[in-house]
Amino acid sequence: MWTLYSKKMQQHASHPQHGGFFTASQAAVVRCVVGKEGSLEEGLFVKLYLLVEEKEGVILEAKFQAMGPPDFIAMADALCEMLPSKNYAQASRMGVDLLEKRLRDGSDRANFSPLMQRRANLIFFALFEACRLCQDIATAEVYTQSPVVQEGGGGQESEHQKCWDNYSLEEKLFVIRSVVAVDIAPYIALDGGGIEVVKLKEWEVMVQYQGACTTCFSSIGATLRAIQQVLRDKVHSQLIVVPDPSVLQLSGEVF
Amino acid sequence: MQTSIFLDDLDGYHPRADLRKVELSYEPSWRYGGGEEEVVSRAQVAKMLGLADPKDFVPLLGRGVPVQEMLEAHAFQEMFPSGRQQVLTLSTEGSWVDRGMSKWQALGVRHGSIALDRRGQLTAEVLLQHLTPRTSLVSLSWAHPTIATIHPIEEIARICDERGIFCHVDISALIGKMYWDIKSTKIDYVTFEARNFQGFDGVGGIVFQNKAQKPSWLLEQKSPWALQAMVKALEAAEERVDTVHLEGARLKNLLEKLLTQAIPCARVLFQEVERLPHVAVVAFPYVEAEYMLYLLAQEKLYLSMGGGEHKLLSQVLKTAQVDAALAACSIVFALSCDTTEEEVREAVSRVVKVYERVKHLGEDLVHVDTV
Repeated sequence: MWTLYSKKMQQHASHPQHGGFFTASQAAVVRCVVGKEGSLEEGLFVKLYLLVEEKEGVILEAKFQAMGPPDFIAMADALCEMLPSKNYAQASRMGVDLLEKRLRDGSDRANFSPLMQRRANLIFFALFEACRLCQDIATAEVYTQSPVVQEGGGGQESEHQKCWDNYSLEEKLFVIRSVVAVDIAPYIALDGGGIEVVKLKEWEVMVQYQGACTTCFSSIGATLRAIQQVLRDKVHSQLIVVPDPSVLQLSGEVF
Repeated sequence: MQTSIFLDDLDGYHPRADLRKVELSYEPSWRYGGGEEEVVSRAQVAKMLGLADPKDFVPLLGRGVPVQEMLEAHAFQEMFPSGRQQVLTLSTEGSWVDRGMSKWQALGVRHGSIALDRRGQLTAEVLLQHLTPRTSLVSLSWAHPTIATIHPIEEIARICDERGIFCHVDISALIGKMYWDIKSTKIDYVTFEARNFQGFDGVGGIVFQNKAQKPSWLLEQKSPWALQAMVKALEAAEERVDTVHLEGARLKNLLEKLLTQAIPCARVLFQEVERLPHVAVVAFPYVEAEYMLYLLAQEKLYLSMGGGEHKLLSQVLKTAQVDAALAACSIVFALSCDTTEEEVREAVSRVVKVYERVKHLGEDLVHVDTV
């Protein structure tokens, strides 16, 4: 089974960065919630510790303790890496698919076996238990923090950029849609939103928001900039992302 | 650069270097009987097994075949004619026994399973509690290959014999590691496979003795090739039994001592009973066994947690009433006759390094006072 592990999973399993728990002094300043799941008798047990800011329910830091096989440790560690800066409501909407994408080496190959998916579920049950303990904290309706993870390309030209001029319009759209599906949509979904690429006109990529995004100011601000940054890093550095105004309903007005 | 250390030789997975080079002669005509070569080789095997009559030994080819054939011989010769159709096995026996029994259960044979006691053994008292008037066969390994405990076979075989019950013992785990004598016991069926003592894969056999009769229809492997292979494997095992018994035991004791000195919460299991000289089962609280093995493999130290044709170590330990949380953290160190003291010391330092690095992940979860 170890041979099925992606390089990212091996890295998390071999060198977990988020193992442990919070000290009393850390927990005194903000709220510390704990979720646990599994059974020591079965050799599969996890305890997730979240430091949650009391004002808006934002998770400041996450740690874990666990007893289980390497993939279980890797998944718990990766999840703890993903949680900071999300609020508990966002965290409780996360699922195994998001974790699986996080631990992929490439963008097209799933690396969780059915057994690993069941183990991942245990970790999420622990997360949900911890999140339930925060339900008395009111979360902000508008988040300034973009859920999109920015994976900077370091100013290097992407593979697609090198061949961009040789692509047909359909090929260009296919590339953009693939990146949106893998690197953007899952994070947008965390806030109950959705995104679809409508058209490409020269350098302008028009996206249509769905769900919660249509009423969120971040969709024309930080989130929009983050989406553009991801597409510039992974597709072409000159792309400009614009929202489809026909579906946006900000402050109750049609944009 | 780190060198690889293999302390995972539970079942002779690594064939001996000298046996890998052995050339076995072969003649196409052996398909129709091996003639003089067969007689000579068979006599050699019988002598090494301590048998008076070479015909009591039936050479067989194929993984798991000796146990399957033994069950078939017993079913047709004893169980079905007598109507006593219960077979008792240990709940910790390997997959060949389970597979063999599932076939006969479909034909009305009843399979009873006996759990090990807290010391990892089947004792006479426990056996007596499980025997019924319908018990026909008690089947077990002389020593458990994973947890290394040795059962009081002489006593078990005597109890069975006094009640007219047949006793089957697999001696594969003992060959090359301990001195044994099957002739002086009341065992009826003895099986073994050479790959379990670093011999050739697929070569094995059955000995019929005491009450057991060799069935006339049993297709034995008459090729001198198979018999020669068995002779070579038994010779090699006999040569190294002193090394394993003395030096292997010394190194195992050293390993256990160094580990418990460096990691005080580590627990060596079954120390109070007679065990195979080369195997140590050690629990490392707070770190699950597979995770420990994974990290140690990255340090080029290869250990085992059972599995494959054996049951998982954690399952075996649970049936021996070891605390379940501790069972999940237990791994097996199986030394080979080639293991050196330097390797043992290096292995301990790698285990300590890995354990210290990750024990905090579970330290709050398992309480040592429950260990």
